[in-house]
Amino acid sequence: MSRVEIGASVRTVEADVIGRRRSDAQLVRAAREGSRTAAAELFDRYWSDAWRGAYAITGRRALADDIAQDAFERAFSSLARFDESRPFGAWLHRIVVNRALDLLRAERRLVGGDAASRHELVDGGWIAHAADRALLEAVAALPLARRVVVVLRFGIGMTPQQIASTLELPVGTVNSRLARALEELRAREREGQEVEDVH
Amino acid sequence: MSTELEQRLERALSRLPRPGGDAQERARAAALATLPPVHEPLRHARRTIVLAAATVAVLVAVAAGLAATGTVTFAVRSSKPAPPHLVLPARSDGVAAFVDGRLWLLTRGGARIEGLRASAAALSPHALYVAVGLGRSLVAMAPNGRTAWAHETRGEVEAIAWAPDGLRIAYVVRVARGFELRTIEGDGDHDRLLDTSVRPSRPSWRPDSLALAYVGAGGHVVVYDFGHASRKALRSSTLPWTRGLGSFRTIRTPDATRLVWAHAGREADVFRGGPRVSIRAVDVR
Repeated sequence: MSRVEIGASVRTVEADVIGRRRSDAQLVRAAREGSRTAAAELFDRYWSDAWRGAYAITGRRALADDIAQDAFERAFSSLARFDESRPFGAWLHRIVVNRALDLLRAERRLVGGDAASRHELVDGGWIAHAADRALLEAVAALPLARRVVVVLRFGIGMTPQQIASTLELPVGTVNSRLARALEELRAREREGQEVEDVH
Repeated sequence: MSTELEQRLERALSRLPRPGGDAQERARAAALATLPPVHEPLRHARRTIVLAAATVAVLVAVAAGLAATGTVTFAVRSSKPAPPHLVLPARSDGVAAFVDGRLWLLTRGGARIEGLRASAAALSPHALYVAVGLGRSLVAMAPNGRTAWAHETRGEVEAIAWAPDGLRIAYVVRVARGFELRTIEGDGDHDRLLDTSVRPSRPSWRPDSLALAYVGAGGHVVVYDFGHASRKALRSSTLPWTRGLGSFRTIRTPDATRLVWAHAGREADVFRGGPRVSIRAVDVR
Protein backbone atom coordinates (compact mmCIF):
# COMPACT_ATOMS: atom_id res chain seq x y z
CA MET A 1 0.00 0.00 0.00
CA SER A 2 1.51 3.34 -0.93
CA ARG A 3 1.80 6.02 1.68
CA VAL A 4 2.48 9.70 1.49
CA GLU A 5 4.05 11.77 4.20
CA ILE A 6 2.26 14.93 5.16
CA GLY A 7 4.20 16.96 7.68
CA ALA A 8 5.26 14.78 10.55
CA SER A 9 2.47 12.33 10.10
CA VAL A 10 2.21 9.45 7.75
CA ARG A 11 -1.22 8.70 6.50
CA THR A 12 -2.73 6.53 3.91
CA VAL A 13 -3.69 8.49 0.87
CA GLU A 14 -7.40 8.35 0.25
CA ALA A 15 -7.00 7.40 -3.34
CA ASP A 16 -4.25 5.13 -2.09
CA VAL A 17 -2.78 2.28 -4.06
CA ILE A 18 -2.08 4.55 -6.95
CA GLY A 19 -2.90 2.96 -10.24
CA ARG A 20 -5.13 0.32 -8.66
CA ARG A 21 -8.84 0.80 -8.52
CA ARG A 22 -10.36 0.25 -5.10
CA SER A 23 -13.31 -2.12 -4.97
CA ASP A 24 -16.78 -0.91 -4.09
CA ALA A 25 -16.58 -2.76 -0.78
CA GLN A 26 -13.33 -0.97 0.10
CA LEU A 27 -14.85 2.38 -0.77
CA VAL A 28 -17.99 1.65 1.22
CA ARG A 29 -15.89 0.66 4.23
CA ALA A 30 -13.83 3.85 4.00
CA ALA A 31 -16.95 5.99 3.49
CA ARG A 32 -18.54 4.44 6.55
CA GLU A 33 -15.53 5.54 8.53
CA GLY A 34 -16.12 9.06 7.32
CA SER A 35 -13.93 9.26 4.21
CA ARG A 36 -15.58 11.79 1.95
CA THR A 37 -13.05 11.05 -0.76
CA ALA A 38 -14.11 7.41 -0.84
CA ALA A 39 -17.78 8.42 -0.88
CA ALA A 40 -17.09 10.89 -3.68
CA GLU A 41 -15.37 8.13 -5.65
CA LEU A 42 -18.42 5.90 -5.21
CA PHE A 43 -20.61 8.80 -6.31
CA ASP A 44 -18.54 9.40 -9.44
CA ARG A 45 -18.50 5.71 -10.24
CA TYR A 46 -22.29 5.34 -10.20
CA TRP A 47 -23.80 8.78 -10.74
CA SER A 48 -24.08 8.56 -14.49
CA ASP A 49 -25.62 5.08 -14.51
CA ALA A 50 -28.03 5.97 -11.71
CA TRP A 51 -29.14 9.11 -13.53
CA ARG A 52 -29.49 7.35 -16.88
CA GLY A 53 -31.50 4.58 -15.27
CA ALA A 54 -33.83 7.12 -13.68
CA TYR A 55 -34.09 9.04 -16.93
CA ALA A 56 -34.82 5.97 -19.01
CA ILE A 57 -37.59 4.92 -16.62
CA THR A 58 -39.22 8.31 -16.08
CA GLY A 59 -38.25 9.98 -19.33
CA ARG A 60 -37.81 13.35 -17.67
CA ARG A 61 -34.63 15.17 -16.80
CA ALA A 62 -35.99 16.96 -13.76
CA LEU A 63 -37.31 13.75 -12.28
CA ALA A 64 -34.08 11.92 -13.08
CA ASP A 65 -32.10 14.64 -11.28
CA ASP A 66 -34.31 14.30 -8.22
CA ILE A 67 -34.39 10.54 -8.18
CA ALA A 68 -30.67 10.01 -8.68
CA GLN A 69 -29.81 12.57 -6.03
CA ASP A 70 -32.34 11.15 -3.62
CA ALA A 71 -30.99 7.65 -4.21
CA PHE A 72 -27.46 8.71 -3.33
CA GLU A 73 -28.64 10.58 -0.25
CA ARG A 74 -30.56 7.54 0.91
CA ALA A 75 -27.69 5.19 0.12
CA PHE A 76 -25.03 7.28 1.83
CA SER A 77 -27.15 7.92 4.89
CA SER A 78 -27.75 4.15 5.18
CA LEU A 79 -24.20 2.95 4.60
CA ALA A 80 -24.07 1.60 8.15
CA ARG A 81 -26.81 -0.86 7.24
CA PHE A 82 -25.36 -1.82 3.86
CA ASP A 83 -24.58 -5.52 3.46
CA GLU A 84 -21.02 -5.56 2.13
CA SER A 85 -21.45 -9.00 0.66
CA ARG A 86 -23.80 -7.47 -1.93
CA PRO A 87 -22.75 -5.20 -4.77
CA PHE A 88 -23.17 -1.49 -4.08
CA GLY A 89 -24.28 -0.80 -7.64
CA ALA A 90 -27.20 -3.22 -7.45
CA TRP A 91 -28.28 -1.74 -4.13
CA LEU A 92 -28.16 1.78 -5.51
CA HIS A 93 -30.04 0.79 -8.65
CA ARG A 94 -32.73 -0.81 -6.54
CA ILE A 95 -33.18 2.49 -4.69
CA VAL A 96 -33.28 4.36 -8.00
CA VAL A 97 -35.81 2.01 -9.54
CA ASN A 98 -38.06 1.93 -6.48
CA ARG A 99 -37.99 5.69 -6.15
CA ALA A 100 -38.75 6.14 -9.84
CA LEU A 101 -41.66 3.71 -9.65
CA ASP A 102 -43.00 5.36 -6.49
CA LEU A 103 -42.92 8.78 -8.13
CA LEU A 104 -44.52 7.63 -11.37
CA ARG A 105 -47.25 5.74 -9.54
CA ALA A 106 -47.94 8.68 -7.26
CA GLU A 107 -48.07 10.96 -10.27
CA ARG A 108 -50.47 8.62 -12.02
CA ARG A 109 -52.71 8.66 -8.96
CA LEU A 110 -52.55 12.42 -8.68
CA VAL A 111 -52.69 13.47 -12.28
CA GLY A 112 -54.21 10.44 -13.95
CA GLY A 113 -53.22 9.00 -17.29
CA ASP A 114 -49.99 7.39 -18.20
CA ALA A 115 -46.87 9.25 -17.25
CA ALA A 116 -45.32 7.81 -20.37
CA SER A 117 -47.45 10.17 -22.41
CA ARG A 118 -45.22 12.97 -21.16
CA HIS A 119 -42.05 11.01 -21.79
CA GLU A 120 -39.23 13.18 -23.07
CA LEU A 121 -37.27 10.15 -24.19
CA VAL A 122 -38.55 10.60 -27.66
CA ASP A 123 -38.51 14.37 -27.74
CA GLY A 124 -34.97 15.06 -26.72
CA GLY A 125 -33.71 15.98 -30.14
CA TRP A 126 -30.64 13.91 -29.47
CA ILE A 127 -31.82 10.83 -31.31
CA ALA A 128 -30.16 10.61 -34.65
CA HIS A 129 -32.10 7.83 -36.30
CA ALA A 130 -35.83 7.63 -36.92
CA ALA A 131 -35.67 3.92 -36.19
CA ASP A 132 -34.24 4.60 -32.74
CA ARG A 133 -36.95 7.13 -32.16
CA ALA A 134 -39.71 4.68 -33.00
CA LEU A 135 -38.10 2.06 -30.82
CA LEU A 136 -37.76 4.40 -27.85
CA GLU A 137 -41.37 5.47 -28.29
CA ALA A 138 -42.29 1.83 -28.02
CA VAL A 139 -40.10 1.41 -24.92
CA ALA A 140 -41.71 4.48 -23.32
CA ALA A 141 -45.13 2.96 -23.96
CA LEU A 142 -44.30 -0.34 -22.23
CA PRO A 143 -45.97 -1.02 -18.89
CA LEU A 144 -43.72 0.18 -16.07
CA ALA A 145 -42.66 -3.26 -14.86
CA ARG A 146 -41.50 -4.25 -18.33
CA ARG A 147 -39.96 -0.89 -19.10
CA VAL A 148 -37.79 -1.18 -16.00
CA VAL A 149 -36.31 -4.55 -16.91
CA VAL A 150 -35.68 -3.40 -20.49
CA VAL A 151 -33.87 -0.30 -19.24
CA LEU A 152 -31.78 -2.24 -16.74
CA ARG A 153 -30.93 -4.95 -19.28
CA PHE A 154 -30.23 -2.92 -22.39
CA GLY A 155 -29.63 0.57 -21.02
CA ILE A 156 -27.51 -0.23 -17.97
CA GLY A 157 -26.22 -3.58 -19.22
CA MET A 158 -27.24 -5.71 -16.24
CA THR A 159 -27.59 -9.46 -16.58
CA PRO A 160 -30.97 -11.02 -15.75
CA GLN A 161 -29.40 -12.31 -12.52
CA GLN A 162 -28.29 -8.81 -11.56
CA ILE A 163 -31.72 -7.41 -12.40
CA ALA A 164 -33.34 -10.12 -10.31
CA SER A 165 -31.08 -9.20 -7.40
CA THR A 166 -31.74 -5.49 -7.87
CA LEU A 167 -35.51 -5.82 -8.06
CA GLU A 168 -35.66 -8.71 -5.59
CA LEU A 169 -37.49 -10.86 -8.10
CA PRO A 170 -36.93 -14.46 -9.20
CA VAL A 171 -34.71 -14.69 -12.29
CA GLY A 172 -37.55 -16.48 -14.06
CA THR A 173 -39.83 -13.48 -13.57
CA VAL A 174 -37.18 -11.15 -14.98
CA ASN A 175 -36.68 -13.40 -18.01
CA SER A 176 -40.39 -13.63 -18.67
CA ARG A 177 -40.83 -9.85 -18.35
CA LEU A 178 -37.95 -9.35 -20.76
CA ALA A 179 -39.39 -11.85 -23.20
CA ARG A 180 -42.84 -10.23 -23.07
CA ALA A 181 -41.37 -6.76 -23.44
CA LEU A 182 -39.39 -7.80 -26.51
CA GLU A 183 -42.46 -9.49 -27.92
CA GLU A 184 -44.47 -6.30 -27.38
CA LEU A 185 -41.77 -4.17 -28.99
CA ARG A 186 -41.67 -6.47 -32.03
CA ALA A 187 -45.46 -6.35 -32.31
CA ARG A 188 -45.41 -2.55 -32.21
CA GLU A 189 -42.74 -2.48 -34.88
CA ARG A 190 -44.82 -4.79 -37.07
CA GLU A 191 -47.85 -2.53 -36.56
CA GLY A 192 -45.78 0.49 -37.50
CA GLN A 193 -44.51 -1.30 -40.58
CA GLU A 194 -48.04 -2.21 -41.64
CA VAL A 195 -49.16 1.38 -41.29
CA GLU A 196 -46.25 2.50 -43.46
CA ASP A 197 -47.11 -0.16 -46.06
CA VAL A 198 -50.71 1.04 -46.20
CA HIS A 199 -49.59 4.57 -46.89
CA MET B 1 -26.65 -14.45 -28.56
CA SER B 2 -28.47 -11.13 -28.79
CA THR B 3 -31.05 -10.56 -31.48
CA GLU B 4 -31.12 -7.69 -33.88
CA LEU B 5 -33.82 -5.99 -31.79
CA GLU B 6 -31.73 -6.33 -28.64
CA GLN B 7 -28.74 -4.78 -30.38
CA ARG B 8 -30.86 -1.89 -31.56
CA LEU B 9 -32.20 -1.40 -28.03
CA GLU B 10 -28.67 -1.29 -26.65
CA ARG B 11 -27.66 1.21 -29.29
CA ALA B 12 -30.71 3.45 -28.81
CA LEU B 13 -30.48 3.41 -25.02
CA SER B 14 -26.74 4.04 -25.11
CA ARG B 15 -27.56 7.38 -26.75
CA LEU B 16 -29.52 8.63 -23.78
CA PRO B 17 -28.48 12.14 -22.80
CA ARG B 18 -25.96 12.63 -20.04
CA PRO B 19 -26.82 14.21 -16.71
CA GLY B 20 -26.16 17.91 -16.38
CA GLY B 21 -23.06 19.07 -14.55
CA ASP B 22 -25.06 21.30 -12.21
CA ALA B 23 -27.30 18.45 -11.16
CA GLN B 24 -24.27 16.28 -10.55
CA GLU B 25 -22.53 18.85 -8.36
CA ARG B 26 -25.69 19.50 -6.41
CA ALA B 27 -26.31 15.80 -5.91
CA ARG B 28 -22.74 15.17 -4.88
CA ALA B 29 -22.84 17.90 -2.24
CA ALA B 30 -26.19 16.68 -0.93
CA ALA B 31 -25.07 13.05 -0.84
CA LEU B 32 -21.78 13.79 0.89
CA ALA B 33 -23.60 15.89 3.46
CA THR B 34 -25.47 12.79 4.61
CA LEU B 35 -22.30 10.98 5.66
CA PRO B 36 -21.84 10.48 9.37
CA PRO B 37 -19.62 13.12 10.93
CA VAL B 38 -16.01 12.25 11.58
CA HIS B 39 -15.28 12.55 15.28
CA GLU B 40 -12.07 14.42 15.09
CA PRO B 41 -11.40 17.35 17.41
CA LEU B 42 -10.19 19.74 14.73
CA ARG B 43 -13.04 18.98 12.36
CA HIS B 44 -15.50 19.18 15.21
CA ALA B 45 -14.27 22.63 16.15
CA ARG B 46 -14.38 23.74 12.56
CA ARG B 47 -17.89 22.41 12.20
CA THR B 48 -18.99 24.24 15.32
CA ILE B 49 -17.66 27.48 13.92
CA VAL B 50 -19.42 26.86 10.63
CA LEU B 51 -22.66 26.05 12.41
CA ALA B 52 -22.44 29.21 14.46
CA ALA B 53 -21.79 31.24 11.34
CA ALA B 54 -24.68 29.51 9.61
CA THR B 55 -27.03 30.31 12.46
CA VAL B 56 -26.01 33.95 12.33
CA ALA B 57 -26.61 33.94 8.58
CA VAL B 58 -30.10 32.55 9.05
CA LEU B 59 -30.89 35.15 11.68
CA VAL B 60 -29.65 37.85 9.34
CA ALA B 61 -31.84 36.46 6.59
CA VAL B 62 -34.89 36.40 8.81
CA ALA B 63 -34.17 39.89 10.06
CA ALA B 64 -33.76 41.09 6.49
CA GLY B 65 -37.08 39.54 5.60
CA LEU B 66 -38.76 41.19 8.52
CA ALA B 67 -37.26 44.53 7.70
CA ALA B 68 -38.29 44.27 4.08
CA THR B 69 -41.80 42.99 4.45
CA GLY B 70 -43.11 43.91 7.86
CA THR B 71 -44.85 40.69 8.70
CA VAL B 72 -43.56 37.31 7.71
CA THR B 73 -44.48 33.77 8.41
CA PHE B 74 -41.84 31.11 8.44
CA ALA B 75 -41.52 27.47 9.14
CA VAL B 76 -38.62 25.41 10.37
CA ARG B 77 -37.82 22.71 7.89
CA SER B 78 -35.53 19.80 8.48
CA SER B 79 -35.19 16.10 7.86
CA LYS B 80 -36.39 15.52 11.41
CA PRO B 81 -39.91 16.48 12.42
CA ALA B 82 -40.07 20.18 13.08
CA PRO B 83 -40.85 21.08 16.66
CA PRO B 84 -44.55 21.89 16.90
CA HIS B 85 -45.36 25.54 16.78
CA LEU B 86 -48.32 27.63 15.87
CA VAL B 87 -48.57 30.69 13.69
CA LEU B 88 -51.46 33.02 14.28
CA PRO B 89 -53.10 34.09 11.00
CA ALA B 90 -52.70 37.69 9.93
CA ARG B 91 -55.06 40.13 11.64
CA SER B 92 -56.02 37.69 14.35
CA ASP B 93 -55.46 38.57 17.97
CA GLY B 94 -54.42 35.98 20.41
CA VAL B 95 -51.69 34.04 22.08
CA ALA B 96 -50.51 30.60 21.00
CA ALA B 97 -47.68 28.43 22.21
CA PHE B 98 -46.43 24.88 22.34
CA VAL B 99 -44.70 24.03 25.56
CA ASP B 100 -43.34 20.52 26.11
CA GLY B 101 -45.63 19.11 23.43
CA ARG B 102 -48.71 20.78 24.90
CA LEU B 103 -50.77 23.38 23.09
CA TRP B 104 -51.92 26.60 24.73
CA LEU B 105 -54.17 28.90 22.77
CA LEU B 106 -56.29 31.90 23.52
CA THR B 107 -57.77 34.06 20.79
CA ARG B 108 -59.99 37.09 20.70
CA GLY B 109 -62.42 35.05 18.60
CA GLY B 110 -63.03 32.85 21.60
CA ALA B 111 -60.77 29.84 21.03
CA ARG B 112 -59.37 28.62 24.29
CA ILE B 113 -57.25 25.52 24.68
CA GLU B 114 -55.13 24.86 27.71
CA GLY B 115 -52.36 22.30 27.78
CA LEU B 116 -53.70 19.96 25.13
CA ARG B 117 -51.09 17.30 24.25
CA ALA B 118 -50.73 17.50 20.46
CA SER B 119 -48.16 16.72 17.80
CA ALA B 120 -48.98 19.70 15.54
CA ALA B 121 -51.56 22.44 15.14
CA ALA B 122 -52.70 25.14 12.73
CA LEU B 123 -55.34 27.81 12.98
CA SER B 124 -58.03 28.48 10.39
CA PRO B 125 -57.76 31.82 8.55
CA HIS B 126 -59.66 33.84 11.14
CA ALA B 127 -58.48 31.74 14.05
CA LEU B 128 -61.99 30.39 14.55
CA TYR B 129 -60.97 26.77 14.34
CA VAL B 130 -57.79 24.95 15.13
CA ALA B 131 -56.65 21.75 13.42
CA VAL B 132 -54.69 19.58 15.82
CA GLY B 133 -52.72 16.34 15.47
CA LEU B 134 -53.89 14.07 18.27
CA GLY B 135 -52.39 10.60 18.25
CA ARG B 136 -53.27 9.08 14.88
CA SER B 137 -55.97 11.63 14.10
CA LEU B 138 -56.33 15.06 12.64
CA VAL B 139 -58.96 16.90 14.65
CA ALA B 140 -60.63 20.25 14.01
CA MET B 141 -61.73 21.97 17.17
CA ALA B 142 -64.29 24.75 17.35
CA PRO B 143 -63.76 27.83 19.54
CA ASN B 144 -65.79 26.34 22.34
CA GLY B 145 -63.36 23.43 22.52
CA ARG B 146 -65.76 20.98 20.92
CA THR B 147 -64.57 18.64 18.20
CA ALA B 148 -65.92 19.82 14.85
CA TRP B 149 -64.63 16.73 13.07
CA ALA B 150 -61.94 14.09 13.45
CA HIS B 151 -60.15 12.24 10.69
CA GLU B 152 -58.20 9.08 11.36
CA THR B 153 -54.69 9.20 9.85
CA ARG B 154 -52.11 6.53 9.01
CA GLY B 155 -49.74 7.81 11.65
CA GLU B 156 -48.89 10.76 13.80
CA VAL B 157 -49.48 14.16 12.22
CA GLU B 158 -46.19 16.04 12.13
CA ALA B 159 -47.14 19.36 10.59
CA ILE B 160 -50.31 21.15 9.53
CA ALA B 161 -50.97 24.22 7.38
CA TRP B 162 -54.47 25.60 6.88
CA ALA B 163 -54.99 27.26 3.51
CA PRO B 164 -55.62 31.02 3.64
CA ASP B 165 -59.06 30.59 2.04
CA GLY B 166 -59.95 28.07 4.75
CA LEU B 167 -61.09 25.44 2.26
CA ARG B 168 -58.19 23.02 2.55
CA ILE B 169 -55.74 21.80 5.11
CA ALA B 170 -52.37 20.34 4.17
CA TYR B 171 -50.75 18.00 6.64
CA VAL B 172 -47.68 15.80 6.87
CA VAL B 173 -48.18 12.41 8.43
CA ARG B 174 -45.60 9.90 9.59
CA VAL B 175 -45.93 6.57 7.77
CA ALA B 176 -43.93 3.35 7.92
CA ARG B 177 -41.14 4.48 5.59
CA GLY B 178 -41.08 8.21 6.15
CA PHE B 179 -43.55 11.02 5.78
CA GLU B 180 -46.32 11.73 3.30
CA LEU B 181 -48.15 14.92 2.43
CA ARG B 182 -51.94 14.93 2.31
CA THR B 183 -54.70 17.48 2.02
CA ILE B 184 -58.18 17.41 3.46
CA GLU B 185 -61.02 19.85 3.02
CA GLY B 186 -61.79 22.27 5.81
CA ASP B 187 -64.92 20.32 6.73
CA GLY B 188 -62.99 17.06 7.13
CA ASP B 189 -64.00 15.55 3.79
CA HIS B 190 -62.03 14.38 0.78
CA ASP B 191 -58.74 13.37 2.31
CA ARG B 192 -56.23 13.04 -0.49
CA LEU B 193 -52.60 12.01 -0.90
CA LEU B 194 -50.45 14.69 -2.47
CA ASP B 195 -46.92 13.25 -2.21
CA THR B 196 -45.79 9.88 -0.93
CA SER B 197 -42.44 11.04 0.37
CA VAL B 198 -41.67 14.41 1.87
CA ARG B 199 -39.63 15.95 4.64
CA PRO B 200 -41.53 16.57 7.87
CA SER B 201 -41.75 20.32 7.63
CA ARG B 202 -44.75 22.60 7.64
CA PRO B 203 -46.01 23.26 4.10
CA SER B 204 -46.52 26.85 3.04
CA TRP B 205 -49.62 27.96 1.10
CA ARG B 206 -49.57 30.60 -1.55
CA PRO B 207 -51.94 33.33 -0.36
CA ASP B 208 -54.43 32.56 -3.14
CA SER B 209 -54.60 28.98 -1.76
CA LEU B 210 -54.02 27.56 -5.22
CA ALA B 211 -50.46 26.38 -4.65
CA LEU B 212 -48.55 24.76 -1.86
CA ALA B 213 -44.82 24.75 -1.25
CA TYR B 214 -43.27 21.93 0.72
CA VAL B 215 -39.98 20.13 1.10
CA GLY B 216 -39.73 16.99 -1.02
CA ALA B 217 -37.90 13.86 0.03
CA GLY B 218 -34.77 15.02 -1.75
CA GLY B 219 -34.65 18.26 0.19
CA HIS B 220 -35.95 20.41 -2.64
CA VAL B 221 -38.71 22.89 -2.35
CA VAL B 222 -41.60 21.53 -4.39
CA VAL B 223 -44.51 23.67 -5.46
CA TYR B 224 -47.77 21.86 -6.07
CA ASP B 225 -50.16 23.81 -8.24
CA PHE B 226 -53.77 22.83 -7.57
CA GLY B 227 -54.99 24.73 -10.63
CA HIS B 228 -52.95 22.57 -12.99
CA ALA B 229 -52.58 19.53 -10.70
CA SER B 230 -48.86 19.72 -11.36
CA ARG B 231 -45.73 19.67 -9.33
CA LYS B 232 -42.55 21.59 -9.90
CA ALA B 233 -39.36 20.96 -8.00
CA LEU B 234 -37.36 24.13 -7.54
CA ARG B 235 -34.00 22.97 -8.64
CA SER B 236 -31.58 25.26 -6.90
CA SER B 237 -32.95 24.65 -3.48
CA THR B 238 -31.05 21.59 -2.34
CA LEU B 239 -29.78 22.27 1.09
CA PRO B 240 -27.03 20.02 2.31
CA TRP B 241 -27.31 21.68 5.67
CA THR B 242 -30.79 20.44 6.25
CA ARG B 243 -29.66 17.16 7.64
CA GLY B 244 -28.42 17.42 11.16
CA LEU B 245 -28.58 21.18 11.33
CA GLY B 246 -32.30 21.48 10.93
CA SER B 247 -32.34 25.22 11.02
CA PHE B 248 -33.33 26.77 7.78
CA ARG B 249 -36.28 28.92 7.16
CA THR B 250 -38.80 29.72 4.56
CA ILE B 251 -40.22 33.17 4.64
CA ARG B 252 -43.26 33.93 2.58
CA THR B 253 -43.91 37.54 1.89
CA PRO B 254 -47.45 38.69 2.58
CA ASP B 255 -47.93 40.07 -0.93
CA ALA B 256 -48.15 36.55 -2.30
CA THR B 257 -45.33 36.61 -4.70
CA ARG B 258 -42.23 35.47 -2.99
CA LEU B 259 -41.04 32.50 -1.09
CA VAL B 260 -37.63 33.03 0.41
CA TRP B 261 -35.60 30.09 1.46
CA ALA B 262 -32.64 31.18 3.49
CA HIS B 263 -29.75 28.78 3.25
CA ALA B 264 -28.02 28.06 6.47
CA GLY B 265 -24.82 28.99 4.71
CA ARG B 266 -24.53 32.31 3.04
CA GLU B 267 -27.20 32.75 0.46
CA ALA B 268 -30.90 32.63 -0.01
CA ASP B 269 -33.08 31.65 -2.91
CA VAL B 270 -36.02 33.80 -3.80
CA PHE B 271 -38.85 32.01 -5.52
CA ARG B 272 -41.31 34.20 -7.30
CA GLY B 273 -44.87 33.01 -7.46
CA GLY B 274 -47.21 32.90 -10.40
CA PRO B 275 -47.85 30.24 -13.00
CA ARG B 276 -44.18 29.91 -13.82
CA VAL B 277 -41.79 29.94 -10.95
CA SER B 278 -38.45 31.50 -11.58
CA ILE B 279 -35.46 31.32 -9.32
CA ARG B 280 -32.94 33.90 -8.37
CA ALA B 281 -30.21 33.57 -5.81
CA VAL B 282 -29.28 36.48 -3.62
CA ASP B 283 -26.53 36.90 -1.16
CA VAL B 284 -27.72 37.81 2.30
CA ARG B 285 -24.39 38.28 3.95
